Amino acid sequence: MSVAGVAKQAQHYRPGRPLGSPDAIEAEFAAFCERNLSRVRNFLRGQCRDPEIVEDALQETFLAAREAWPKIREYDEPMGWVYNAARYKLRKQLERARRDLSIEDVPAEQIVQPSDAREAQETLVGLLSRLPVRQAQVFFLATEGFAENQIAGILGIARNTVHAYRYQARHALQQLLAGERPQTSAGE
Amino acid sequence: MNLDELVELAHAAQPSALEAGQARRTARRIQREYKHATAMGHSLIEDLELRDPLTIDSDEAARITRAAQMAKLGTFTWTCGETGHMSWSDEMSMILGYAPGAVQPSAELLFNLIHEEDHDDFREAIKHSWQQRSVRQITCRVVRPDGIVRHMHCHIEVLVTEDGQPSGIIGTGQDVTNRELARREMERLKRRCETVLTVLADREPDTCLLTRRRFLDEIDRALRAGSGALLVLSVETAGESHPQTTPGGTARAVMNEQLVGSVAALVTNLVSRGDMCGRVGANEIGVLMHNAPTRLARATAEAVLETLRSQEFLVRHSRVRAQAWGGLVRYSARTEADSLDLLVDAESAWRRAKARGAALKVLTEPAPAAERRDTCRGRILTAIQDNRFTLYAQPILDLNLNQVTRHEILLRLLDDTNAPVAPAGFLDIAERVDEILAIDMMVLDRALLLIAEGPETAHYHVNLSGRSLGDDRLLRHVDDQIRRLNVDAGQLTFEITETAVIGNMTEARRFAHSVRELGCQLALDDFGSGYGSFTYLKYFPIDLVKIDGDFISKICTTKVDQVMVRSVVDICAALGIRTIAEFAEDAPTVDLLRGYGIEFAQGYAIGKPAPIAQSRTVSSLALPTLGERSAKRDIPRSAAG
Repeated sequence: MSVAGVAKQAQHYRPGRPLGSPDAIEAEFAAFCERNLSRVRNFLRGQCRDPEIVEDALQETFLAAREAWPKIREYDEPMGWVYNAARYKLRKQLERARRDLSIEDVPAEQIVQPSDAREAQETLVGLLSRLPVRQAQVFFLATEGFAENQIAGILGIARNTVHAYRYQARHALQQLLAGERPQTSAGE
Repeated sequence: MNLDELVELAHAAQPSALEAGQARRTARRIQREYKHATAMGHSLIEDLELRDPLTIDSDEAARITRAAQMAKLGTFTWTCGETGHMSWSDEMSMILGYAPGAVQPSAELLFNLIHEEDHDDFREAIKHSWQQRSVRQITCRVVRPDGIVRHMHCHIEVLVTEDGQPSGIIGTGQDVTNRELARREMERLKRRCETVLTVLADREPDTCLLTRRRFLDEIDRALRAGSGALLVLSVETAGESHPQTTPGGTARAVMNEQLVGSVAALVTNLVSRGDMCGRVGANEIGVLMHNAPTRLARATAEAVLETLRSQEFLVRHSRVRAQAWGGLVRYSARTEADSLDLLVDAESAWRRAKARGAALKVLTEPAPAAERRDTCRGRILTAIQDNRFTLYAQPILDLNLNQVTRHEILLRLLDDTNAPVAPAGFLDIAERVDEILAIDMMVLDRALLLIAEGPETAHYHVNLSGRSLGDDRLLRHVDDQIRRLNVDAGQLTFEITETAVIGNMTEARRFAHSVRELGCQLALDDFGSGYGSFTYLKYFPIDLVKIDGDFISKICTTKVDQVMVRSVVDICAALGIRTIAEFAEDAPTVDLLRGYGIEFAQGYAIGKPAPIAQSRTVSSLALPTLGERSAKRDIPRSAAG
């Protein structure tokens, strides 16, 4: 069976269903991976501007997700677990590279008006990468449709904090879009 | 496009065919690597929790602490209630310098562990977070029980109960000492890159020749390794020498200066690439041919002289021919002479060539020390006997009164064409053969005469060589003259250089105190440029510091100079020392200096050095036995002031 065929078949699986053969599990995960790879990549790119570190963290994340798959496939939304894992894996990669997010100097960039959806996505990721990391995480997850208490769970922070960051991130992004340099807010 | 529109549009993005293909390949690779890892028995999730982060956990503090543990961060939790309860994690305990469980956590202990200077900020962050129901972050120092200081970065968040009531705060902390050090180091390096001036002012701006001082350094370096030859070229415009063409011969000096500029360009092109060219005197250019065999050095010297003598140069809009002589001296590893000796020998050599009507004189080795000494003495005594000195005065502006209240007396030497030139090289030699005292005394006498003849408000600065400081005859002489002429000693300031002070601290201190007793004032010249240190300000009864021109000439645009000058002014003000800035070349500089609280300025913006009118009295005055004129260590550039 072709890979595409497996992926197609895999889409019929629903989380929570009893496990089939190892092949079926593999196919189910492959489909999950293909669907969500770029979302997680964008999540990471919003926090880290080094593409190599992002790719390494991305791979580590999905390797972990593969191992955890028999368990997390049963969750209502396995992506919550994946984003949580991605956060730790990125942290690990940064430590390994002896890099620190907060030290890097982000040069100001000209914001180009996006003309299509792809460009809009690139613009948004670019803007997020200029925010404090925790604000970028909160805003990204919010656009992915997670509720504030879910985001609090994924990021391991207080609900109150999610609410504050969401507001701060919004404000900073609006300033960036208007071509202003956002003022560092007291919170972050 | 506003933010919501952007987010909406971004959400509609679909992967391209290419990306879909890439995603498939990545998915396959992950499957492969997973199989490989499991085959090897590796776990890929041992650092992760398996529980679903989306399930709502009613205990926020426990949830955040767990997440922090996984990220190897410490937490402290401070819940409200009757008394309030403080607890912290093992990781936090270690950040604070205690083994886990070693102490009972308490708010009081935590605050005590925060560095005194960061106390208020830390307290403020907690208070603010609590009141605003928001998150705050802070980096503060922790002083561990053993006294070690660590930097801790903390997020401070407000906890709420299930029904949304605030129940306490939680701090998530990380030891960021290394990161903090790295950040500071980066900041420091950045600042250092901005402030360090990579180009040492070692070349003359007009001719691009090395300055005399730097050229001497190069000769010293060459003398330490191997052999070679030093050529000194002397040039002047051809034609009958114009004795006293103009009063003071200034026009002639300008012509010679232009000629040297053109000759410098030519010589630099003619010599080999590795050879070094320097301005060794007003009309002299030195060429250091290191490692060149004698025959090659001689051939080069002859070729250069031939070209100089046959070529026409454009000087003051007219074509002129140059007269040129060369002195070449060989040195080798066995040479005991130093750079100044070698230079003196090469200078003597071209003078001998000139006296004999030849173009070049070659010395196969440096002259014996005694012979050199005699030659130098002879030159100096001849200069004194023939009265080949003239005095200039440069005005010094009192920046508070905005009025010229002082003058510095500068010595000029008449060169072979009777043009007045800065006597730096000449004074070097005079110091070397101990003939400088006569020159210093002569300048002093002239200054005292000017004071005697001028208004009581006049004030003159006179430069003294470090050599003269140690000679009792100098101050005795000054004392006698002051009495004889009945002048106010307070109208005279001696300028001495840091280098002079270094020569002999004991002598210099004795001199300084004697100057005080006489009632004269003492200034430290070229402050900041030499090997000077604040020691001199501490132990010497100095009335005035003259800040070196190198810090002043570009101060309007150079932050480094601004910072340094400001701090020198601060120090001097606190010590009761007055300050002069030399090389003040334009009005903005003068304004800036005044703003810094500097008391005096000197330089082209105030006035160039001008010849002192030879009053009848002065010229007819019987000068002391030793001779005639005198003073300033100024190197060619400070002909500019």
